[in-house]
Amino acid sequence: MGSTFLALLVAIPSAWAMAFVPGKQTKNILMWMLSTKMLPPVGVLIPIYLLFRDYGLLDTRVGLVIILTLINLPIIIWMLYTYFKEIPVDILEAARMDGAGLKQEILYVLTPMAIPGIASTLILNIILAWNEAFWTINLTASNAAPLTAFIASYSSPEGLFYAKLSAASIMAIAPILIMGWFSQKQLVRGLTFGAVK
Amino acid sequence: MGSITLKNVTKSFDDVEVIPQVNIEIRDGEFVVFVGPSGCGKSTLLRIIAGLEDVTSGVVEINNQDATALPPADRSLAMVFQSYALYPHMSVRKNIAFPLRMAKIDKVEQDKRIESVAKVLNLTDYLERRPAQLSGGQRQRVAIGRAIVREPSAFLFDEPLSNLDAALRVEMRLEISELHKKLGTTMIYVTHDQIEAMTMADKIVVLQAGVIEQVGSPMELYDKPCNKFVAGFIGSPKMNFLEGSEADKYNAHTIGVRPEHISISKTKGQLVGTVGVVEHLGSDTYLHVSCENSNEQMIVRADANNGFKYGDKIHLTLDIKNIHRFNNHGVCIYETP
Repeated sequence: MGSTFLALLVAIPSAWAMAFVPGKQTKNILMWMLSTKMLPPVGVLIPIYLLFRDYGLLDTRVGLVIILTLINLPIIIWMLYTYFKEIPVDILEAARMDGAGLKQEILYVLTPMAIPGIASTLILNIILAWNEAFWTINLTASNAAPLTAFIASYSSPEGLFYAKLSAASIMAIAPILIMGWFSQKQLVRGLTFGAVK
Repeated sequence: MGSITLKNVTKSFDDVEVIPQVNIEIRDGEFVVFVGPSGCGKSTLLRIIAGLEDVTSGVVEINNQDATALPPADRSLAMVFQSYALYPHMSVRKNIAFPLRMAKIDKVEQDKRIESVAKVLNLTDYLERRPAQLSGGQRQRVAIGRAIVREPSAFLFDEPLSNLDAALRVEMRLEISELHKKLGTTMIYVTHDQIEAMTMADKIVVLQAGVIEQVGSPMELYDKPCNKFVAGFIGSPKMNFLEGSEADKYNAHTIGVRPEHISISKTKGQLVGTVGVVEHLGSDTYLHVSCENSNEQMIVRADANNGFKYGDKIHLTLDIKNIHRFNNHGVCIYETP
């Protein structure tokens, strides 16, 4: 999903910076990001709907990617931040002493060590984006409607189409189920990463 | 070549001044130990030399070239960390090869160097293992191997032995000393353990609160400490200090005597005291004595079979030739009384 990769692209460098080169406001920025998740989404529905309408993003895939990225970004940054925090700074400094530049340090040392964390964040975010219903239903109609909106359309004023609703719902579960099946080892390792030294 | 010079180096973290001002000159091939209590700025000083920490002001010179602004990668220094800092996702071979890979040295040469380093450090059988499968001592050897493989102009050790158990620590201490003799490369070693400093160093730098208290060879510091702090810090068990009337006799504010410079007797002596704890080390015995005239505890070295036990009355005589005199600022007075 576009939003996941876009979010990771933004989140990895920012989490990196927060974990390894913290400034005076880093803690506050993190708390502020978390606080954005505390507001009920319906509270900002109307302004966002109006913004989307003005910029012509309603019912477009680009709009969908943007909104899904924005709503999941705080969680992703938080998750990555905690994973990166687990990596001992000594090891990065050792790499620097061994002659590695910033690029090599990130490529050969940091990324391989953070892979479980990055992978579980990726999977979690795909699941979150896939299951997200509130914004998708409200901001799309037909052109860019994802599965959630599609399923919701079976519950219409003309009545509930139970058979179709159930079939579509089960179909919707399938990709996540299969992906989860293959990635469960990574996911569990990622979620418990650093729990025990 | 591996000479390092610090000129007027200062360091502050935000508003806290950690190192007020330091000047050090380290010559090529020297084994220099920075020693001091925890929080005295010795690790910060090492990290400044390594380039992992910026200086607030001052100049760091490596091989007579200004290196103050150079990134760590370009300083041709190797560092061994307290936590070993091995790359957990790489085998021992790859860990040791990492600096060579970064320096873009060709594969054949890499293998040759790794084999020779592994042989020196007894790691040949472990090259394919991951760091997690090694013991503490072996991990430390890998960290040292990673440092020596690229033949740097100086080695930096940041308390490398403090995570090892006592027996292994003594063994690794010898190995590092031997390595220094063999390679002849400059080594800078940070420790809070004055025994490590005494046994390994050519030159000891004693630090307190970011200030250099004294620089000298181990025996210089032991025999001629320039102040009370150095006198108390170097030597184990530490020097006994006496104030008041005893010190007045020697025309000083405080006098210091090492445990081995006090003779004991059952019948007569300068000071009278009661034996407290008796520590048997096998070859020697240390008596903790509470003196009658002062509330100070004194530690006295005695023969292994001295026969003294808890609660015994004891007479002590200080060896006049080995008394250190200090003025009221704690600075040593060297002219005769």
